[in-house]
Amino acid sequence: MPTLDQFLDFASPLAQQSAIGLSILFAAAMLVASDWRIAVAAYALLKVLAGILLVQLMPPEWALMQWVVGGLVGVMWFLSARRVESVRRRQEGIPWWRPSWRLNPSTLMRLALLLLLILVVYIVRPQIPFPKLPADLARFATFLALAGLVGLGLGDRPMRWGLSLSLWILAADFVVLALQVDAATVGLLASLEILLGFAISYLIVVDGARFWPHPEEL
Amino acid sequence: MTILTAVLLWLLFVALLAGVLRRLPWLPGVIVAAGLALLAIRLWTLPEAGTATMLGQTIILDESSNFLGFTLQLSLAARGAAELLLFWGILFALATAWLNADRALVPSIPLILAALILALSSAPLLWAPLWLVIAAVLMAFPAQGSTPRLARAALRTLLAPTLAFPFFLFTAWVLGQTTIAADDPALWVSGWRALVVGVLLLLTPVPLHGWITAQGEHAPPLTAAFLVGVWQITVYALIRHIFLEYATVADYADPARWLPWLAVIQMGWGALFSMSSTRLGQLWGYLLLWSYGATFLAWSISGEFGTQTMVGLFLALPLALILVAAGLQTINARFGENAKYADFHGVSERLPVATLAVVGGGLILLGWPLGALFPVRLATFRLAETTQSLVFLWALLSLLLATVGLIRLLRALARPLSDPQLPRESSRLAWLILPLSLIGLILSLNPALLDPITARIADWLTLL
Repeated sequence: MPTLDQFLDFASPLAQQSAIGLSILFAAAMLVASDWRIAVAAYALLKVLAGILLVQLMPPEWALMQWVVGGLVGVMWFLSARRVESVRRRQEGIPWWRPSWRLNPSTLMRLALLLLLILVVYIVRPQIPFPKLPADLARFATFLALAGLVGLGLGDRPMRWGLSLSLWILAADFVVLALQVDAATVGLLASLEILLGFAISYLIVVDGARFWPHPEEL
Repeated sequence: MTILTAVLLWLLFVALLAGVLRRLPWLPGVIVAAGLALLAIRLWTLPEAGTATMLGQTIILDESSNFLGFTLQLSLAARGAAELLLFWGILFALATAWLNADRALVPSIPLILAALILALSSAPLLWAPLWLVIAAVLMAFPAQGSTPRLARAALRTLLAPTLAFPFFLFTAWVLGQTTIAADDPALWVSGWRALVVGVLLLLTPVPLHGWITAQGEHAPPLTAAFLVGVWQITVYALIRHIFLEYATVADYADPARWLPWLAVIQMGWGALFSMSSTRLGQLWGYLLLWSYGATFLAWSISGEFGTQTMVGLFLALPLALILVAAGLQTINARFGENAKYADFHGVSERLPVATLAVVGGGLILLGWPLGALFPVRLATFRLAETTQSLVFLWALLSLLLATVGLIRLLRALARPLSDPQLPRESSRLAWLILPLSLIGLILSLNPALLDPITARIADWLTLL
């Protein structure tokens, strides 16, 4: 079993080359996927990569707080979404294994908007010159913030809002933690994200229960 | 123990007690109202400096609390705003208990107030939005209510502080780097710009106003009024404190120039869509938006000289809001949440008091005569007429459009009865709106009655 330092020695060169590209892919998957499992998985992977990227700005034991936060929030959202779906399936008599993927107009619209955003970011290369933040991370943070704002405009479902707000907070993490790294700031930002994750997981259940044939089971 | 610790402990205790007893019909509301009233009276009677006794402990009033490296102090300015918040909490807890309305609101009131008071006590002030995120999370639970429903109101409540806090943190860092910033004017300017953007986000101008209209449409009526009101008081107190403490920000974007327009656009937007509303909750949301804009208009054109008027406005505003919300609560119980105008038949016949509360309360909210808000609205319009005539014209137009919206609602409510089984309203509603209307009438005839309270709170708010 490698130690944390050994793992980071191994992962950092990979991260330098591919983490940003993969993160953009995962962020896009978070916003486009209509299936909550894909969205939560993409969120968890994005947080793993974000932790590795943040190592450039702060000590690894603090940067990897992203893993802890992503793990806790991801588990909360997973449990909430699974409860909503499993109760609905049971009440409607749909077996658990039957997929419910839909390529509806709303998914296509999200996909089109996201492709447009990626195209604009690729052509225009918008980059706010945040102090102390390397250029590639500054561009990445700008993309995350824009993607979060686009996601917020794409509908009023709790999971989507949670994912979009987490993109915005991740962008803020890069900007703020490049400026000041201390236990209070890192801890407060992480605890805020967990708090928001908690609220969103509650809202996933109470919003999703509307679609149960017998919502009194809540 | 500091005064802030004592206040927070008391609020947490009251919330816990109300939460344990939440399934009882009216007791939690009475407990919360009594607990908040005791706290408000104690804060009012405390000296401005020195030592005092609270919860059996001696407290030093100037002392600050330290938490995770952050300093928190309930200054006199924060104490003034806290008094207003506690007053709102008392009124809404009592109204909710009396009407036996949504169970989720009452235990949340002390917790929300605690988070808002923490935000107002934050030092440095620019860290306050972090506490506002916590307040918004707490606000999301009553906004959702205790039943499965669309989460739009709760979700949108989270938006403003979450978007705003990075801008405040950035400005806080710039202001903390005096040596670097002195050599780099561009950094200094970007810090101020970030502060202006953060302030704008907290004010939730159009098109970020969606959380207010969503509250009207998708949250229980009393909850919507409470959440929008306490948010506005906090943002007002916080931003005016920021402008006082960081006066240089006015050199980069003078609020006296943009704030009236921001307010009047909110009023115009609210009025236009309240006039064209086809659902009751939709109208309520846009009336809340109009009132939100009108309050900021009063602030923006009266400035520092209008602080006492603003305090008076915040004391009178819940009277009108509770009137409308209580009426809506009764109508919603018969016709469902956010019912269409087309579904209303016989409302004025079977629910005359609720009809009176909604339409009359709406007119009072707009500032028509014989209501609690008439003196403040009149003063606002007169001041706007003399200082900014274009703003005055737009504000007047918005008032007329919103009034037309209420007349349209009245027509819908006055349709003849079609279902003889439609139950009549309870007399409890009448016993709520009667004293509120009377108090409003007295205040409209003699607004100076509030002067001893408003003068003291205004003095506190003005102290840095």
